[in-house]
Amino acid sequence: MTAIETRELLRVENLVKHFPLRPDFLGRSPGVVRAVDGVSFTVREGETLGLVGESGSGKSTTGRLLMRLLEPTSGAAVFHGQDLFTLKGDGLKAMRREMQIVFQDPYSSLNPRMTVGQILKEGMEPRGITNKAESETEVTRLLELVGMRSYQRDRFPHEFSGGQRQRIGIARALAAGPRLLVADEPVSALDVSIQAQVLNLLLKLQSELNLTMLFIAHDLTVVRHMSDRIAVMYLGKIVELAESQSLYINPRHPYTHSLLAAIPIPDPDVVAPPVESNAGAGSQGEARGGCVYRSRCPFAQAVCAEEPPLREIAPGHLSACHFAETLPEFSRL
Amino acid sequence: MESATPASLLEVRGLRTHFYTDEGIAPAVDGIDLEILPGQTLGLVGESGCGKSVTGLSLLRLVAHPGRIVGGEIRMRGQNLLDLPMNEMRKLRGEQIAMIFQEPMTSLDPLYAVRDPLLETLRLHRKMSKSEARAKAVQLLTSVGITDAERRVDSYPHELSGGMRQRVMIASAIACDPALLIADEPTTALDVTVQAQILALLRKLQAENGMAILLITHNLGIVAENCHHVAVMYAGKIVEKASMRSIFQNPRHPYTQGLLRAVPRLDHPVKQPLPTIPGSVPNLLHLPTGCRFRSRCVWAQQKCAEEEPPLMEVEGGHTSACWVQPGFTQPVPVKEGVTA
Amino acid sequence: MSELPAPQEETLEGSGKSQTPGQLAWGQLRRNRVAMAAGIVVCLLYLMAIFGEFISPYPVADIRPALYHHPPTPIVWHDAAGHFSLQPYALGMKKDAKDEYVPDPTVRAPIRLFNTGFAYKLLWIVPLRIHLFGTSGDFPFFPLGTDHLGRDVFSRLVVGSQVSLSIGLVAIAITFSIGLLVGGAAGFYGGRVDNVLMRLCEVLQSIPSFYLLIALAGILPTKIPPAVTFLMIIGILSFVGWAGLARVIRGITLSVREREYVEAARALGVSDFKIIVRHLLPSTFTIAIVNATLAIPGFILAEAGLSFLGLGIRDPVPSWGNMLNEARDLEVLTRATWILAPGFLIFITVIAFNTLGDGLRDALDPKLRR
Repeated sequence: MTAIETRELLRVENLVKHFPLRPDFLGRSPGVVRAVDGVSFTVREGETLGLVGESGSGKSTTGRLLMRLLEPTSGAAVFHGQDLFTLKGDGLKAMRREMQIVFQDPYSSLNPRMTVGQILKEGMEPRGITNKAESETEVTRLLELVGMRSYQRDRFPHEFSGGQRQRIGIARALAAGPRLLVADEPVSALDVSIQAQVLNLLLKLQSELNLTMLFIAHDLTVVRHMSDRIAVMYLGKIVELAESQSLYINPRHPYTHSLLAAIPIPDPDVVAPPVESNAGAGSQGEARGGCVYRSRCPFAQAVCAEEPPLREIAPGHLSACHFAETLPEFSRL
Repeated sequence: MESATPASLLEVRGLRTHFYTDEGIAPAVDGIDLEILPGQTLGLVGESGCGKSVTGLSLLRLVAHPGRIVGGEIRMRGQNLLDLPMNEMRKLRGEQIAMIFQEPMTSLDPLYAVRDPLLETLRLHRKMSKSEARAKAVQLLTSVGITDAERRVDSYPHELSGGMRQRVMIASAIACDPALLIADEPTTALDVTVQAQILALLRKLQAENGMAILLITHNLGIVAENCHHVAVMYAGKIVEKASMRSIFQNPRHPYTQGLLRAVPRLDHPVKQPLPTIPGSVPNLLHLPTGCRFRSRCVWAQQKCAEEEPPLMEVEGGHTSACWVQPGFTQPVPVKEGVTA
Repeated sequence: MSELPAPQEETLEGSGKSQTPGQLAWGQLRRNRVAMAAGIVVCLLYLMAIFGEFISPYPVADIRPALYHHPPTPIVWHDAAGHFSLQPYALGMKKDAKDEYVPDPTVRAPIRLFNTGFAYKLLWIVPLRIHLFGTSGDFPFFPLGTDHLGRDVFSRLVVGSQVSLSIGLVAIAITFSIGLLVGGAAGFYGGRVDNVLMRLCEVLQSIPSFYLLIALAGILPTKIPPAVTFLMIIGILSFVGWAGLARVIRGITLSVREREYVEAARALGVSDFKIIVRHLLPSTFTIAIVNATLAIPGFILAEAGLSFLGLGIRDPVPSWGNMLNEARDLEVLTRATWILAPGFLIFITVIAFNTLGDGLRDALDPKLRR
């Protein structure tokens, strides 16, 4: 994976999203949930950046922020040269053509009252195609692109299986002709054999259409399979970012270690490593300040009360741990 | 017909559970045989719709309308559970056989404190007094890894995380020391680190109490780490049964092989397409003749369309329901019309 | 090598024709026999209302003071000689020594189908004189007896259904529209808009509705023509009833707004208006239809109640409610029990609508499906 001719398509800087907690009846606010707490990364054209984390990590929120489905509390993003969060009106509409999203749940992401054809035509709205013949041809092209048949355009979502619905969702996202596809847990709700089909489809589409992807998931093996580089998130922060292979062979953050240790491997000769005793996605209620992972980390020291910056410890490999270089070796392979 | 191993805790023979829907009869479980050995874990693997959850529910006769057990035997300690009158069956539930489910969020009644399902089962089956039951409840919570159990026992479900709720479920399931625990996708809804802990807990409880476990899952990794024996289900039938090692090292049924190939692995190169199983699961209301897997199978022959293959012995204790039984390392043929 | 079967046809249901969720629900409803029977009853009731004058033998204003509280005319199936005949006859009645009506076998008249009777306009357009059945001339044939002014109860019942049943329909249409607008806006925009609108609903709902109805009806001037009264009653009913439906629609809108397919539309940059029309409104229809069906009996009863108290549709225009006014007098009730006929019909109507509404709800509830 060479670094030449990799143009930056998306650059995210210090993205923050806080959700206010409900004020008590006297109107006092108990605080905020730091869903995304200062996240920065770049995505190069044509690559897939994986965003992995457990529940509460902020990965899905990040995806939605980039799609402008949520507005950030602070931070900036530059997409294809434009300031993403200040776009309005026509600028925003134009951006919608460039960046689209595939959702997790194949059962609730399609309107049950619309036919597949109507759903795909809605997907084409950012392109403003008014010619009926043209839109019909497009529908056919999109269906065939995702491995479905043209006649299926007149069917309703409930007539399809989960895997097929997900294909329709992908076709809808592609209808606008985007450069960047945000895939938010696209296969988590699917069976293993169907997952493989949809993942293959995404890989094929990426190479055929030169798509850039932000692949969000909680399943590490799936993320690794699909991504060139991976960012590991915990409680709203990126704790490690590296090329896929490096992350799995040489993880440099204790949280990455624990995630890798927890993956069940389908191989009878691989023994499950001992589990950490106080796992469970930490909550925001823990002591503020310092490293987010401090309360669960077996390597925590006094210095961890100071928040470790996300820094480059080797070319292309970043970690937010004071002891990144000196952590013990760890590999599941 | 396999002869019953004298050491079996639970033996299922020819179990059939059918669903009588408006559109027809769906044979969700259509003639399966299982053996669960005491103190060991049997993994029941399959994808959605294969009938594995219905099997678990059938063992406890918890199948709800429009489903009904229509045939077969479930023998435990010589007795056919399907012959028992309902009140005897209820005594058995929770005491001899217990079950935990996938969704810890909805399995606990939000109106009751955590101690209540525990107290309920202890006082029902063990006839304990309130104070005895409470003490035992605290002890159970500690044994499932809940710290500060003395205080936690009075918490409400909404105060606990998903992993802790699942531990509470496990505690109430093992409260009366059942011989068999049926775990239906117990970790699917949990984060991966919590999943590892829960599975480790189950292994620990098995080692300490000699409890047998029927682990229902779709995740082959979980199977490899937790199961002694494995049964693979597809469209209501068991297509392969073997020890855990045999299933991974020498899978003989094309479906099992397909599943193993379709899972992304850490030792595969990044961003390479995975070998997939083409097509999708058949509609139970419109099953094909012969082998149910044949429309997705690259090895299918004429015989597969004519006659449904029974489970046939591959080697000692390893059976597979396939006429072809290709070796796992044989190159996979590419056939017309079957897209890979 | 043998032929491989082609990869299985990739739709879940058999390769039959595609069904909209609406068609699926209809199929589900058809399987519910009780609900279908109720639906048929409702249809029959409305047919009766539409063809009211055709079905009734006498004009509703036809007063015959001499024949007040005449019991239902006996119908016999034999001729004067006592032989069985397919032609039914209506028997006359006369008063006996105790001043009570008894049948008089010597006086009879044939009941004819498609009899010629009083003039009216079918569907308010076609002038006709044919009626479904009746006797010729002045022969007193009262299938359900007469009221205190000698008016035929049956005719008034049938024509009265026009008022009682249509008020329910028109009121629900208005309530529905207001509720959709208010509830949809509150659910979609949330925040202050939602707050203000919902507080308004709550204020309205906190007033006991029947008293509000009476209060409003009480201030209606008495000398206004019946058509205007009719519209004003509808207006009053709608005013009191929209708040409940608005809240239900708000609830649905809130839940649908969070669905992923709405998020997908927003991600595509679809305008708010299109999202409301294309995604939110259709989802509200199913629940709204169920609610509407279950609300109609409420309107019918409200109108009946108002008219019963003399505050709604007033005599001589018949409505089931004002016809029951006579039944307040216990003496009249014991002597002329047939006066209760409108009450019975209200009962049937309410049960039919409720049963149909329940059936619709079950058919449209995705959780109960299969």
